[in-house]
This record gives sequence, C-alpha cells and structure tokens, in this order.
Amino acid sequence: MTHEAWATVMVVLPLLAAAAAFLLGGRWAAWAGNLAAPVLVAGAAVLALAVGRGEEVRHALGGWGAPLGIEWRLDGAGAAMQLATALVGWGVALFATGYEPHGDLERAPGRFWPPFLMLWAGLDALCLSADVFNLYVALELIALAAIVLVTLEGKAAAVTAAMRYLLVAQVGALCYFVGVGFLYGFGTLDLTQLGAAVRPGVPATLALALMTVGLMAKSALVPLHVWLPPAHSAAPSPASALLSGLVVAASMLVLLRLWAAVFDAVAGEALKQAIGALGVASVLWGSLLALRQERLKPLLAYSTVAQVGYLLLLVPLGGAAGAWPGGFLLLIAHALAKAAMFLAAGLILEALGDDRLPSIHGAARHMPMTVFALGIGGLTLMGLPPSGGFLAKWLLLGAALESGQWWWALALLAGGLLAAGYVFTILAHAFKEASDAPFTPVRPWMEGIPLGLAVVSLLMGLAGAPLTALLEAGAP
Amino acid sequence: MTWIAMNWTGLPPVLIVLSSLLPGIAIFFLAEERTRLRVALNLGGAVLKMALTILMLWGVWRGQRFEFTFALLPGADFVLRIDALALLFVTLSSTLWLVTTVYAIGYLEDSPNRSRFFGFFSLCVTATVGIAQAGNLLTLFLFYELLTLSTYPLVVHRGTDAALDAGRVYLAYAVTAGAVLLAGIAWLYALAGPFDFAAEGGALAHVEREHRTALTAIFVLLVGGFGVKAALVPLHGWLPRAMVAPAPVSALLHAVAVVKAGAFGIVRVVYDVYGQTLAVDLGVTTPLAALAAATILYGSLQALRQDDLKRRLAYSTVSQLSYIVLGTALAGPVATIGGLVHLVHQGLMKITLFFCAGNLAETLGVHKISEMDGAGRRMPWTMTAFTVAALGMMGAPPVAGFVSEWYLGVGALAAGQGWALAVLLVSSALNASYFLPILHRAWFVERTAPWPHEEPARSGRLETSLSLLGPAVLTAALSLGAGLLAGLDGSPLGWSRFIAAQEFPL
Amino acid sequence: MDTMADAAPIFAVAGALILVVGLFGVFDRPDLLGKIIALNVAASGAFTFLIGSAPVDEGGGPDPVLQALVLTGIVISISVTAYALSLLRRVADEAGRTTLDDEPEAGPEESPEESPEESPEDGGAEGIRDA
Repeated sequence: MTHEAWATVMVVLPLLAAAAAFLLGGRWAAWAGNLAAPVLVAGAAVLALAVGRGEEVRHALGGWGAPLGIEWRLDGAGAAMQLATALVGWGVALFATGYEPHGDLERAPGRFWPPFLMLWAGLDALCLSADVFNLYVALELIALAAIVLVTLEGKAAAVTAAMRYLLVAQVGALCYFVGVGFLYGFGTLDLTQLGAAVRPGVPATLALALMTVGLMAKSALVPLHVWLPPAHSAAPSPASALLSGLVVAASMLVLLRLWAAVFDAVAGEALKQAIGALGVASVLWGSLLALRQERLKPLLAYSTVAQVGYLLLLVPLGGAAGAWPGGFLLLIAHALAKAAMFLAAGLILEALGDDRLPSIHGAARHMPMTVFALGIGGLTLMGLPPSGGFLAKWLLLGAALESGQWWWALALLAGGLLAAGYVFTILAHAFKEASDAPFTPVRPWMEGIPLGLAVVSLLMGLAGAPLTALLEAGAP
Repeated sequence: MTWIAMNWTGLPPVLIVLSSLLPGIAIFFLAEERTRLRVALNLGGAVLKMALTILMLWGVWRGQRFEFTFALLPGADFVLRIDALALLFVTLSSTLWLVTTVYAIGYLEDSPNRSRFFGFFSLCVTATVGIAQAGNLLTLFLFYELLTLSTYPLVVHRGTDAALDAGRVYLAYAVTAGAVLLAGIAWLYALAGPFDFAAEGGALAHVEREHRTALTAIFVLLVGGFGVKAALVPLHGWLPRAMVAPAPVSALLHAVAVVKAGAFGIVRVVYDVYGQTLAVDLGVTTPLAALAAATILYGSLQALRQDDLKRRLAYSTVSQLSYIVLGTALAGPVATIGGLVHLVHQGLMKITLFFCAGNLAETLGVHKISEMDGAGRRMPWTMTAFTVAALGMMGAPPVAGFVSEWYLGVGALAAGQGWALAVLLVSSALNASYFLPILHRAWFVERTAPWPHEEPARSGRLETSLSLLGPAVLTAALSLGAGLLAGLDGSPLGWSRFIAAQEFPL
Repeated sequence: MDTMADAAPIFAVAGALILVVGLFGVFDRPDLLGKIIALNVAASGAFTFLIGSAPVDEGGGPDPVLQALVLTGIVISISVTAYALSLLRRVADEAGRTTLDDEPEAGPEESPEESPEESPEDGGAEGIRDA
C-alpha cells in the first residue's frame, strides 16, 4: 500500500470506526475500536519507517496542492507523534475493554468509543497537517472529543470540569483563529511557505501573541492551567491517559511547529526568554502543587502541567543542536509514560477502592506489576536513565549549555528533583505495608497494559540514535 | 543495527551485566511460593557472573581487550570497557554477590516479598557491574542512577515507618547527588566534547588552558555527586539511617555496591577523566585529601558513640571509605596503590562484619553492643570471623587491612604529605578503641542475662544456619588470605600495583 | 500582499471591538449561559474582523480563502455552541446550578478545592437560575 493510502487510512479508519461504534453501541462498540487499533499501529509504524528512511510522505487532498488546497505532509516529528498516538491508543483500547465502568458509563459503556476514536482521528490529522488552518480544524476536533471524554462518567465534578475546559478551549481556539487571519496577510497558510514569507511587524507580532496564548491555554500552561487538574481527574482513567498523554501534547506540537517554522525569525530575544520563563514557571508551579496532592489522579494531572512546561524551553533554545529532537522526544516519552501511569492509577482505583494516597498502602505487595508501571513511568518524569525522558533531558541540557543559556539547564535539573519528590511520594505510599486494606484483584492481563506502555517509554531510552534520526527528518 | 559495534569481544561485558539483569526481571514475575526456582535463578546468575569474570580475567591476562559500544545518541556513546580497574571492581562485585546471595537466601527464609527483594537485589548488582565496566562518564552515570533506583526498594523493604523514613532521606541525598552529577557531566561534555575514560587522563588536556575555573567547578560537582554515595562528610547522613534495612542489604550496600560505587566514581574522575597531573595542577587534590581526612576522623569519632552494632559499623564505613579517597587524592603512586587495594580489602572485611552482625541479630536478637556479652562462647565461629575482620580494620597484620594502611602511610610520606600519615595513625587508634571493646565483651565477659530473642529455628548442630555462617567465615578467610598472600602477583595488591603503574608511567 | 488594505476598515475595527467585548463577557459573566453567549459574540466579532480585513479582489468581494476560513469557523462555532448548551443542561442537572464553582485563587490553598470528589453540594444555596 502506498504511503499516501496509509496516510488516508490513519485519519479515515478511526472516523469510520467511531461512526460504527456510535451506531452499533454496546459491546460491539469495543469491537470497532479493537479492530481499528492494530491496523493503525501498523500504519503508523510503516509511515515512521518511511519517513526515517528519508522518503517523502505527502498527499494533496482532492489533488489540489498548497497553497490553496489542503496538503498533508508527514515529517519526522509528526510520524513519531503518530506512532506514539497509535501505541497509547492501542493500550487504551485494550484497557477500556476490560475496565470496570463507573458512573454513567455503567449503563452505556459503549459511549467511550466514539469520542475516543474521533480523538484518534483528530490526532492523526494533526500530525499530517502542514498548514495553519488544517491545524485549527484538527485542534477543534481533538478538543471536542476530549471534552466529551471528560463528561463520560457524568458526575457533577466531571461535567463542571468539562464545561470549564470547553470555555477555555474555545477562547484559546478563537485567539488562534484570529492569529491565522493575521498570518494569512502574508499570502499563504502553508507552514513552510509562511516561514519564508513572514516579516517582523505588527501583524506578525499580533499573530504570535494570539496564537501562543491560545495554544498555551489549550496546553494548560501556567497561568492558564487551572482547568486541567479537575478535568483529567474526573475523567475515567482510560480517558485520562489519553487526555494527559496525547491531547495536551497535540496543542504543544502545534505551538512548537509554529514557533520553529514561522515565529522564530520574527520574535525578539527578550520575548523568547520570557516565554521560556513561563515554561519554567509551569514546571515549578505544577511540580509544587503535585507534591501537595493527596490523591493519585490529581497528582498525575499536575505533573502533566509541569512536564508540558519543559517544552516551552524550545522557544528560547530554538535552533540549538539537539533542542528539537530533545523536545519531541520528551513529548513522546511523556505521552507513553503518563498514559501508563494513569492506566495504572485506574487499576489501583479498581483494586483498592479509591486513589487517596494513604489508601494505596500495600499496593506494592498486592499489585507489584502496576506499581512497577508507575515507577518506570515515573523515570521519564524524573528524567532518570535509562528512560526516554533522560535522553530528552540530556539533549535539552546539551542544547542549553551549547547556546550559552545555562539557566535553562538549572531549570531542567530542578524540575527533575521536584518530579522525584512526587513520584517517590507515590511509591513510598505503595511500598508501605497496610494492615488490612480491602483488595479486589484485577485481571492480570490488564496489569500488563500500563507495564507495556511504561516499558516502551523505557526502551525509548535505548533507541536514541534511530529516534533522533527520525525526528530530525524534515525538521525546520 | 548499524548503531551497535559488535564483535565477540564485546560479549563478556554485556553478558556480565545481563547475568543479573535477566534473572532479576524474571524473579519479579515469580509468585512468592516458588522458592526453588527463585533460588535457582539467583544462584545461577551469580555463578554465571563468576564464570564470566574468570573468563575475562584469563582473557586480560593473555592481553585481550574487551569492549562494547553503542550509540545512545549521536555523540553520546554507551561504552563498556574492561581495563584493570574495571576488572578489579567486577571481580570484587561478582565474588561478594555470590556470597551475599547465599546469605540473603538464608536470612530471608520465610519472610514476605522475597521475589520483590531478590529482583531488586539483582538489579542492584547489575548496576554495580555496569558502573565497574563503564567506559565513559555517561555510561557510569546511567548505572549510577540505576543503583539509586534499585537500592531504594531494598532500603524500604520492610515497609515500616522507620524504613520509609530512611528511604526518604536516602533518596533526598541520592537523587540530588544525581542531579549535581548530571550537571557536571553535561557541562563537561559541552566544554570538552564526548570522551571516554583514558588511563593516562589525557582526555581533558586540550581544554585545560582556557577553562581552568570551569574545570575546577566541574570537579567539585562530580566529586560532590559521587561523594554522596561515597559518604564523604558532610554528605554521609543517609548511611547510618539506612541501617534499618535487612542485614544482607547493609552488607551489600556497605561492602560492594553503593559506597564502593561512589568511591570508584571518584577514582575514575581523578585518574581517568582529569588525570592526576591535571588534578594536581588545578589544585583540587589537596582539598579533596583534606576532606577525606576529615571524614576519616569524623566517622571514627561518631562510631565510638554508637551502641547499635550496625550503626557503629556504618560510621566505620564512612571513615574507612575515605581511605580510598585519601589514597587517590594524595596523588602519588604508592598512595594510589594503597587506596585501590583498600577498595577490595575494606569490602571483604566490612562484609564479614555485617554478616556477623546479621547473624547475631537473626540468631540471638542482639542488635546492640551492650547485649553482646558472651557472644564468643555462644557463636564462636561468627565471632572469630568478626575478630579477624575487626583486626584488619585496626590495621593489624596479617589481615588485609594492614597491607592497605601500610601502603597508604608510606605513600603519604612519599608524596610529602606527612600529616596524612598522622591522620591514619590516629584513625587506627580510634578503630582499635571502638572495636576492641566489642571483642572484649564477646570473648571475655560472662553472659548473665538470657539472649534478647533466641531463634530456635536457626540453632541446630551449628551455632546458626549454615547459609548464614558459611559466608561470614568465607569472607573472613578471604580477608586473611588477601593479607597473607599479598605478595603474589594475582592478589588484590599485585593488581593494584599493576593499575597504578599505568597511571604513573615511569 | 497587504491585508491591512483600506477596504472596509470599519468592519475590521468593529469586529475587533466586538471580539474584545465578547471575550470580556466570557470572563466576567458568572452564569454559564451568559458565558456561552459571550463566546458566540466574540466569535462573531472575530469572523467580522477577518472578513473586514481581507483584501478586495477584482469582483469587489473579499478574498475567497478567508471566506472559507470564516465559513469553517462558523460551522465549528455552531456545533460547539450546540454541544455547550446541552452540557449546560447536564451541569444544571448534576450540580444543581448554572455557574462554575468559584475560581480558586492562585496559591497553596488551591489543592483542596481541586479535589474533584468534593461535589459542591453547598452550591445548592447559591442562586439556581433557570437554565
């Protein structure tokens, strides 16, 4: 099958599966998801290998090319993100099949699949998009699907959090939209062509400001982060895995692409440093709040806020050697690790009844594989070897030191220490012996899923050379 | 797989790492009741590791080089290389791991969570041999952090509040040390480009002139990072607290894995990263020597104040480990020999002491020195082993400790640093003053009260279980043998002289 | 290509003003229905601004690409509004009110309020307006 065909499959198949899941409902919905997932993993792998070999993957929809038509292009970062999406998606699909539904989902468990599959379609479309407007449409699709995922269990906290998420996401999207309008003033919407055409000045700066703020709101960067912890905590655990791992990564991907392709040449050094500082603020604030949490899922959600902050460092670090692959490696490693940790949290919830930290005492004895998954996922958050997170940190450290901006190196190290604080808080509680906690065993194969995803994030740490080669393919 | 450079000479180093990694992973998945399989995996891995070590010893003796490289990232290689120093540490680790495995199997009979314990135990040794064989700072760092991660679950194994507290303190020190170390390594790589350990320390020569302050600062960072595990004062605070862990863990931590890894790191930094010429030139060796001396004295002084046996041994470790650092910092060939050989000797002697402490605790419920009256009569073999090791710590011939202290003393004089000799003598005196009372109590004081908690399952024909007794006696014998046979080429001393000869080419 | 052409600047300016007013309303209004309406107002402002700042082609109409953008935006806006209203209905049903709970002030006290299990049952006393 040609690469063009595969690219189309990556977007169309999950849409069709979503439609099928919606129409069939009930148990059949899970079939739609579980049949589509392996195909998508295969497709992502094929495309990633192709891009890694240097082949071009382009597809002009309807035969109309840029700048007027919509063109799909897959570069290294996009291919890697698609692959991460596919792996996380497959894991979530398997997990959701075996997971005990709570709240409204008990009556209609099939309701998980349509928004999940639409989210997948949106993510794949985002990876393939090469112009700013297509990115907008993909972002909106993703946001809507994500909001629905938050509401699935139907509790008051969930729908309220979803409402807040909707409002923030829409305001952010609106800002982005206006920014697109300003960018169109340079004659094209295609990212590569914009990179050549854009000139510093009022329109470019306005576009930069609006789009950056909008995307920061969608990515829950400080100070626009308030919506995320309640939303990710209230969603069902498989959904939380998607939300923290992939949805937040999606808007960051757009932000980084925009900066690399268009805004880097336009913005002044002071502005870039300021944005980097905001990233550090996210890292510090998110980590500090994570340390204060008493429940597992909010802790993981705040950790997402912190981890996303690292990615803003790519703005000041710009074209320094190793910054781009380092940032994307972090994005992908975090997606896998955080998804693993949320799925593990879901299992703990199922087995021990609630996710308050004191209640997870004895988890290390009852469900060692799950605690292991938490620990290995935590390695990426802490940036400890041999995880993918460590490689990313190493690359970013190198980039910071090479470009003389050593203060970011300090921020990276401090963030790692804070992450160690909250990861080991979880692990300490898990290792503590409990006298008599009620324990419902979970199915062993379910434990394998978070462990599998966590191990992949670990193995990424050993595959640095091919991964960086992939990420640099087509890098701006 | 173009990013792996592989031929058969790369196999033994990798296999040695895998020989504990793979059984360790397998053990994690074993159900608690499958004791025989777990023991088989444990011992099988340990024996395989010993066999591979012997293979490499034979190979190096024939002049064979062993190296394994693969590119973690462009410009950042993962390198396992066997040089004489690596082989020294690997041999120590393999031997002591085999012995400790036997001990741990006996010690933890019927206690909960054994699969988890032995899984992490194996990971710990994997990390240690990885550190030993690391061919550059990045690889060393990788395994160093793995060591922290795999020892934490061992420290908190019992799950009590005290254990978790100790674990928290350990992490606070170790993770911070890791961050400091990473900062130093990243800075060094940014400054000098990627490089491997070079026996003559020439790796940094081309950077020296322009960046003296940076190099000195990096040295401080690196030594600081390694110094936490090496229990350099004031970074030693985690070590006495970690004594809440079960005895096999204390034995492993204090003789083989964690503390030795820290000292080993410092040795590598001084000799194979900076090279002793550059180190002396930058003026960092004297402060390091002073710090080591302070640690030696402080550790011994604190040991005097402890009544808990393991804590006294812990402070003794703090003190003794800095002998190695002192030997390295004195930067003379003889002192270097003394420091390196003490790496082995201290390991053998300290593990004996901890095995004996564990035997006393497990068989008789004795944890404090004040409870040890008459222990020699009740457990003569254990206490004999303890005595041999204690004599060695005091520097009494013919036990191995005497040899290392002799070389350190002579080396201090040869390097023109006579004050170090005074420190060593004072330390020996202090060692005597905190070990002799123990020996006196055990051998010469009659027992009046019953033992705190005599465990009938342990006492049979022998004074305690064979799996607890055997290792202690064996390592005591090795300590004695290393001293008696130090003159042989194949002894730890002979080896250390070989390594030092490479660092100080005449 | 100069988009800030003088073609119909009044629309662009008005659109920008409406956008700002709408955004202000989203943040300022306490009731959810008001927020949703304000969001629509802001969106309308954005669309007007975009069309108003488009260059004029030979036929005297705005640039077709921008039209396409705005049309897509309108469609998305309608769908999202529809969903938002149904979500508002659910919030009213589940939480018994039509406001978001109080935005927590930035600070360490944030963490207790962030705990999602804490359903704001005390919200029953707050004004339950007819959705």
